[in-house]
Amino acid sequence: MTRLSRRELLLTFLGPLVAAGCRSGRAPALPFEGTVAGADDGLGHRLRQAAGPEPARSSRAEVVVVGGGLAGLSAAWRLSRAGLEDYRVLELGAAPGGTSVGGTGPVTAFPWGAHYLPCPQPHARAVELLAEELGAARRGSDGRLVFDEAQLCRAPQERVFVGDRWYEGLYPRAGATARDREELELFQAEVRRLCALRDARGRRAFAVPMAHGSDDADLTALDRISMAEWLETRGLRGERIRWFVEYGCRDDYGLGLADTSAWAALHYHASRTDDGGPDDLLTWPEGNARIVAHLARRAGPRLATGALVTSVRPLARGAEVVVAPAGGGPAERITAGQVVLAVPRTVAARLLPHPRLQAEARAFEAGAWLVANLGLRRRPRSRGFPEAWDNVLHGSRSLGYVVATHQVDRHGGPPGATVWTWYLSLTARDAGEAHRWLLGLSWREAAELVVADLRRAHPDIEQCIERLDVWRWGHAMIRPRPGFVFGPLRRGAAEPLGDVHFAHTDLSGLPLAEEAQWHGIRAAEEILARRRVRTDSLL
Amino acid sequence: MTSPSPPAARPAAARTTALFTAVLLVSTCGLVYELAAGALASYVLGDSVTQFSLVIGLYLSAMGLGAWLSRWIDGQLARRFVDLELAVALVGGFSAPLLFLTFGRVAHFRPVLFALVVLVGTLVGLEIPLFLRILRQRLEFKELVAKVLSVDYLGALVGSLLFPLLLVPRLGLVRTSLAIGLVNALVGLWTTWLLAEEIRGLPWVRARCGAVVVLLLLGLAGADRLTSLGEEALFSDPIIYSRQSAYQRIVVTAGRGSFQLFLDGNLQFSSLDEYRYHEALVHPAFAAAGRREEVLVLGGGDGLAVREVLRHPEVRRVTLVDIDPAMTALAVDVPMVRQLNGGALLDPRVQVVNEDAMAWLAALPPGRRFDVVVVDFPDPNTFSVGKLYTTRFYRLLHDHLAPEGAAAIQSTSPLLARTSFWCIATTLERAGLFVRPYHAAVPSFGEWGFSLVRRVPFAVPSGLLPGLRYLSDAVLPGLFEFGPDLSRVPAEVNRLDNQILVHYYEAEWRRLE
Ligand SMILES: Cc1cc2nc3c(=O)[nH]c(=O)nc-3n(C[C@H](O)[C@H](O)[C@H](O)COP(=O)(O)OP(=O)(O)OC[C@H]3O[C@@H](n4cnc5c(N)ncnc54)[C@H](O)[C@@H]3O)c2cc1C
Repeated sequence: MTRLSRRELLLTFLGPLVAAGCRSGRAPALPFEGTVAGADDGLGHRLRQAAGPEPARSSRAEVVVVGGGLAGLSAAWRLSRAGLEDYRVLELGAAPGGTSVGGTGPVTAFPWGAHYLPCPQPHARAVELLAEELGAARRGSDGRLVFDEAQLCRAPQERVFVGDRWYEGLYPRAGATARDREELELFQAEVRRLCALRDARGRRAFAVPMAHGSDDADLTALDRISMAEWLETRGLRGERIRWFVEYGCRDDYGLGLADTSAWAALHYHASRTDDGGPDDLLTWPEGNARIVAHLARRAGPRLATGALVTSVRPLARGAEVVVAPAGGGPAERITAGQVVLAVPRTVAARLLPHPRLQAEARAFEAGAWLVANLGLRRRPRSRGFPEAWDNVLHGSRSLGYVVATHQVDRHGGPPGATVWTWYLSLTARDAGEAHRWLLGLSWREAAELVVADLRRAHPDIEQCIERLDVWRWGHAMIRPRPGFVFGPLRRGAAEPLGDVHFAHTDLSGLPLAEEAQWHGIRAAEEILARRRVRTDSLL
Repeated sequence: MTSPSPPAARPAAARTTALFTAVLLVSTCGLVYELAAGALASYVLGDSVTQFSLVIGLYLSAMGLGAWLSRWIDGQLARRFVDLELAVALVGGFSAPLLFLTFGRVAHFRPVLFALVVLVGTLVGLEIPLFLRILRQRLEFKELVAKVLSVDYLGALVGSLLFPLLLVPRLGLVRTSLAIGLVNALVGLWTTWLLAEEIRGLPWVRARCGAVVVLLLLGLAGADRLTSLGEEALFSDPIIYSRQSAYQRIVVTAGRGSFQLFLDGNLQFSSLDEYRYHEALVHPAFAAAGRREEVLVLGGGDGLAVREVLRHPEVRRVTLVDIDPAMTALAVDVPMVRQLNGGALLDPRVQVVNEDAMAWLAALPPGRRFDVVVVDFPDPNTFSVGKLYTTRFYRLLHDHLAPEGAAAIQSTSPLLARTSFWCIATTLERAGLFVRPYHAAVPSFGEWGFSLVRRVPFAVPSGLLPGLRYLSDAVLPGLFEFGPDLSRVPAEVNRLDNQILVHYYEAEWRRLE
C-alpha cells in the first residue's frame, strides 16, 4: 500500500471526527514500546511452501482434529466425554485458542480476541455444561443455573464517550432529542417483540446457538436485506439510532449497517433474553482464553501446538492428514478413522482442495481486525461516568476498549495499573483491501491510531502507557453480509465429505463462541454416530 | 548618608506616611504568622488551649529575643531592614507549607513546629526596633514611639480580623502563609524605593527582592499540589492535612476545638462526636456475639473502631484490613489522630493488613472464622466501594463469621438514604445472614444506620460493656426501633453485576443537594 499521511491514516481507520483532532506534521516519538504480531499473515504462503517432501513418519489415530480453536477443542471435549480418547488435536499456533487466544503480563492476563460469553439460555445445554465446568455456574434447587457473581460482568458494564465526557450505558443519551429517544424506543420495542416471538414449533425467532432458532421464511427473509434497509423501512433514520445499531454490527461482525444482514444484526439484539433487557455475561481478565485453557486441559497431551497441517485427504475409509512443525522440520502422516476440520472455510479449501469447499470458500468472507493491548502504569484522566468494563467512543470507528482488571480485586501491579484491550474492526466493503491496509500497518502507525483515538477521552493517555502491543487479525471473523447466512453455500457447508467432518464458527455465518462450540460438538457427535457409540446428544 | 534636598520637604512627609504604612503591613503580617502557628499547633497537637498558649508564648518571647538581638545590628540599617523582610518573607511564608508537608511524615512534628515558631518570632521581633532606628532622625522620639507602636497595634488588629474572616476561609492555611510572606517581600521591595538613597548596591538588593517574590509566587502556584483552592472552599474549617493516596484523597480539617477526617470529600468522623458513631458500630456486635476473641475490622483504617474493640478484655487478636496504607499510617503517625484512637494500631494484639477487603476475604482459608466482625467502609458512592456491599461480599463475610459470631456493618443513613439503608439489609438477608438493623444519632452525620448480623436468628442484644459514654443497656433497645420515617422500604438486592446500591445512594444524596 502507498504510505498514508497521519491524517489519512486516521481518516481511513478511525473516521473524520478522530482525524479532525490530529495535529498535522510529524508526530513526536512515542514514549513507550511494543510489538506487532499477526496470526494468519503468511499462512497461505507457508502452506504452499510446506507442500514439499514426503512425510518421514506416519502414525494412526482414531480421530484427528485440525485446529485447536474453540470449535476443535469442543470436538475433542465431546469425544472425551463419550469415552473416545484416541484422538489428536493439531494446532498451528504456539498456544491453542485461535481467535479466543489471550496473553499474560506482569499486571494481569488479557484477551487478544474473544472476551466474553453471554449467560446461556436453558436450551443451550452444552454452553450450560461448559459454564458449570468452568465453575462459573451451578445448578440451583429449581434446576436453573445460578451464575457465579464474581464471574458475571460487574457493573458498570458500559459507558460511552460523547462530546467531552463519559456517560453510563452504550446508547448516547446525552444531547439526544425527543425524536432520538422515540427512535430508540421504537427499536427496543421491536427487539422486545422479536425476543418474545415463538414460531409454530415453539422456537425462538433468534437463538444461540442459531440452530435452536426459527427458520420460518418470514424471519429468514430478513437475511436478504441489509440492516440499513431494515432501519429505513421502519423510519429509523436518526444519527443516534443508526450509530447505536451500527455499533452492534461493527462489534459483532466487523460490518457497517449497509453490509450487515438484517437477520444477523437483529440476532445480536434479540437472541439472548426473553424481554430484550440487557443480557448477563461472563467474563474474565483473559477473556475467552479462560474457556480455551479449560478445554485444553481436558485434551491434555493429545493437543499439539505449533503443528501446521498442510493437507487433508479423504480416503475410501478414513482420511489422511499431513502435519509439520510450524517452525520447519520433517512432516508426519497421520491416518485417521475420521478427521474434524476445525479451521476457517478458506483454510479448509486449501488443505482439502475439493470443488465444493473451494466454491464455499469464495463465498465465506472474513473481515480484518486490529487489536491493541495497552499496559497502563496508571489510569489516565477521564471526565464523567467512571470506568466501565466496556468503554465506547461515540464518533470513532474504533470499538473502544475493555478493561482486563474489571473483574478482579487484586492484581500484580501498582493500584492504578491495568491493561486495556482496544478493538477496531475494518468495515471496508472490500475485505481484500482492508486486509492489505492492515498488513501494511507498522507498529508505530497502529500505536498512533490507538493513541489518537483515546486521546479525545483521555488527554494524558500517552504518559500512562507502559507498553502497547498490537495484533493484526487478517482474517478475524466471518462476515454475515446480506444473503450469506441463509444462502445455499453456507447452509451446505457443514456436510461431511466422506470421513472428513467440519467444525468452525464460520459454518453458522456468525462469529460466536457458542456457534464454534456447537459445530465442534456436532462434528464429534456425527463421528460418534458413525462409530455407533451410544450417547445422548448435548445439542 | 546624604540629607534630603530642600525640594523634597513635602515628599518627605509623604514618605513618612508611606513608611508607617509599611509598619502597618509588617505588623499585620507578624500577627498572622503568630495566629497561623497557634492555630496549626492547636489543631494538630490536640489539647488546643495549652498548645495555643504555648505557641503564642513562645512566639512572643522569640520576638523579645529578636528585639534584644537587634542591638547587634549596626550600619546600613535600611539595607538590613530589606534583608530582614526577605528573611521573614521566606521563613514565615513557607512555614505553613513546610509544616503541612512534614505533618504526618516525620515522627517528631512538635520540634519542627516549635523551631519554626521561634525562628519566625525572632525575625519578626527584629522588625520594629530596626524600624525605630531608621526613623530616628526623621521624628522626635516621643512622637516616634507613639506612632510606631500605635501603628504596630493597629496592624495586630487588622491581622487578627483578616486571619479568621478572610484569609483562612478564602485561601486556607498554606496559601495564607505564602500570601503574607509575599506581602513581607513586597514591603522589602517597596522599602528600596522609600529609602533608596540610604541603600548601597540598589540593583542587587532589588534583584534579591525580586527573586524572593518569584519564589513565593511559585510557592503559591505550587500550593495547588497540596490543596487546591476549590478544595479549601469545600470545607468549612481549614485544611491541615491533605494527601492524595493511591486510593483516595485524605483530608483533615480542624477548627473550633475539634478536627474532622474526610475521604474524597466525605466526612468520616468529627473528633467531637465520633465516640457515638464508634460505640454504636462496635459494642452491639460484641454484646450479640457468643465469643469475643478473634476480631476482624474491615475498613476503618483510622483506628477508632479498633480503639473500641480493644476495650473488651477478652479480645485476643484484631485483624484490621484497610486497602490504603496512607490511612493506617495516618492513624499511627499523625499525633492528633493517634491521640484520638489511643494508639490502637500499635497495640500488640492488632495486626494491620493493607489489602482490598474483598480480595483478602476471598483468599482466606475456608476454616478461618472470626467471632466479631466490624465492617466500616465509606458510604457506597462509587463502584469500587459499592462492591463491598454486595451479596458476593456478604457471602464471604458469612463464610468467615463464626457460627456464634456477630458482625456490624455501617449502613449509611436510614433517614437521608432510606432505600440505600434497606437495600443493604435486603442484600445481607439474601446472602443468608439474619439481620437486625439499628440506628444512632451522631450529630455531625445525622441519624446514622447500622446492620447487626448473625448466622442464626437472634434477639436484640443486651449486656453491653459498662462505662460507655453514649450507649447503655437501657438505651440500646431503642436503637433497634424504626419510626415511620425510617421504617423499611422495598429495595433490590445489591449485586456485583448490578451495583444497584450505588445508584440508589447517588439518587438519594442528589435529592438532598
Ligand atoms: C478480535 C475478535 C474478537 C472476538 N470477540 C468475541 C467475543 O467476545 N465473543 C464471542 O463469542 N466471539 C468472539 N469472537 C469470535 C471468535 O472467533 C469465536 O468466538 C471463536 O473463538 C471461534 O472459534 P473457532 O474454533 O471456530 O475458530 P478459530 O478461532 O478460527 O480457530 C481455528 C484454529 O485453527 C487453527 N489453524 C488454522 N489453520 C491451521 C492449520 N493449517 N493447521 C493447524 N491449525 C490451523 C488456527 O490457528 C486456530 O487456532 C471474536 C473474534 C475476534 C477475531
